[in-house]
Amino acid sequence: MWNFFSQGLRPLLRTALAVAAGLCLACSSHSPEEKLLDTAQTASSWIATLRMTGEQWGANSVPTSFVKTTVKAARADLEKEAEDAAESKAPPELRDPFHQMVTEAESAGDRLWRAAEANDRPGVAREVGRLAALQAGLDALRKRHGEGA
Amino acid sequence: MNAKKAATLALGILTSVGGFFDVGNIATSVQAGAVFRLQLLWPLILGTILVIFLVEMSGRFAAVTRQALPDAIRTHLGFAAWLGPFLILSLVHFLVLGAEIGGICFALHLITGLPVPFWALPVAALTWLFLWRTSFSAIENSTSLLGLVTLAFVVAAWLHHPPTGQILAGMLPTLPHHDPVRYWFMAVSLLGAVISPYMFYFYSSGAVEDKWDDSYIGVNRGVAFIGMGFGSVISLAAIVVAAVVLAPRGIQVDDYHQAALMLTQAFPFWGFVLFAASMAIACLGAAVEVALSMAYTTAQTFGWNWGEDLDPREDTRFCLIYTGAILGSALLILFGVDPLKLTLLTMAINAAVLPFIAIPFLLLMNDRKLLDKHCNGWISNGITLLTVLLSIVLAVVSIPLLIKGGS
Repeated sequence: MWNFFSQGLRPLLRTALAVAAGLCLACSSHSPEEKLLDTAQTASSWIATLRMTGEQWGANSVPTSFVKTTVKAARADLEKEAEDAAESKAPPELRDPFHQMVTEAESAGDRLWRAAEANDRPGVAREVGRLAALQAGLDALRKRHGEGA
Repeated sequence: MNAKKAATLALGILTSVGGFFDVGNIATSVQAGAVFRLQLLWPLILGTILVIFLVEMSGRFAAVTRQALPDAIRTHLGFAAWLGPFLILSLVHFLVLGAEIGGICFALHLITGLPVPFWALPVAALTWLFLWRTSFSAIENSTSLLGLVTLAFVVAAWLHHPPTGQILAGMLPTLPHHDPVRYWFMAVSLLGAVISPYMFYFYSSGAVEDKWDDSYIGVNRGVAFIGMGFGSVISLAAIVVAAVVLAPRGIQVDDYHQAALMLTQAFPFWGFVLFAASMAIACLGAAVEVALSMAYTTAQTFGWNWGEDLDPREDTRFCLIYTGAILGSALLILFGVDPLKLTLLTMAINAAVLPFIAIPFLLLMNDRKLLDKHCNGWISNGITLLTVLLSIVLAVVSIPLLIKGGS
């Protein structure tokens, strides 16, 4: 048994580690534009989450505390994405509108939470609409640049 | 089959169905469905076939030899041969326990709005109290029967009328349509979530606790095949619901808050509560099983007294292991480790360590002196060999994907 582990498994592990290292290297190269597009996908997902949270709050399907914690979680991610965008070396025609949309999404999230807390249903519906427009804009931006990346 | 065995079979199937779904299945299934819709059903089907065979073998082994796996590996292959796999298994147990405790804390966070770390110590205390105060059968039956609440995912999938053709197509392996690195990382994580090593180590110790003998081989086969088979339907349903609810809206699951919305369309008022309840109960059941599995494995490795039904004074070291494990894993959550990231990391590690766990198991299952006519046949050997080969490939693939896809 010990021989099996020491003689049979070691060469196998060495080969496995070599292949793993190769795959690591292959996975690690991404252009700044591709990196920003990946970030944009995560941002779009968070905007969609905020939008659905607002809709479900309006339908009495989620509590106000959930709106608050989801906005908080989304904000933490969107802030990081805005920082990534500000530091990105991607072309300005992608970076600048993306940065602006993420910043707007953060504000829309905050307004959504305040409206839910105040039980302001028209206010929540308004922010849901804004988030839908932001998501559509971001997806169009991703599509435009994704095709060329 | 007498009435007692029929009851054991029925209860075993129910507990397997209720106990199949845990935090790893929730996280990986929901992510897979949200990003790749129905394309990643095949790793779940493959993993289920493999886990059915592995669970059946571990139950058969315990029923015939009346020994749990670590005990038998140490006795028959030697302490030195088992030490490496044991250390790896202990690390995996610890991380899975942390992920399960994180899952319960998150479910409580959803209901109360209080921060996730706030719940770490109360949840650890509850889990520990559950283990300290109850018997093995009470733990097995109560958490798993309550776990049937996770069937809400199956009902939700049915209510959404998913496309049958696409579901069938997703059961066959295909190349990714987009994002190949993430696709393979998720395939690896799905497999790691289904073939959790703790499951068959726990199952074999449980069979010894329940005093199975070779007359239980039929019951064991029924529990493994029917229970695990139906259990996987819940994970499959979670992929389907995520695919039809979250994916069309462009919601990927990078955080459990995003997953919490998935049942709200099928059950407009109760969906959110059902999701939180499913998560809390499934994770509590799994946390108790993982903590016990860690204590079983450690006690059997060092030849200590063990048994959930013993008085704690009779197996002090066994009780100390699960107490320390629960407290240590809860500290991960208390210090702010993200439960979802911990889960995904743990599931990929699960996949990577499978060769170390499966090879000694395979050697034992072919020992005629131990198992006589109940030794593995060519089907079981073929399936286990496939598992070993697959696990080696997974081990190679999961490390870079862990860095790339899990980042």
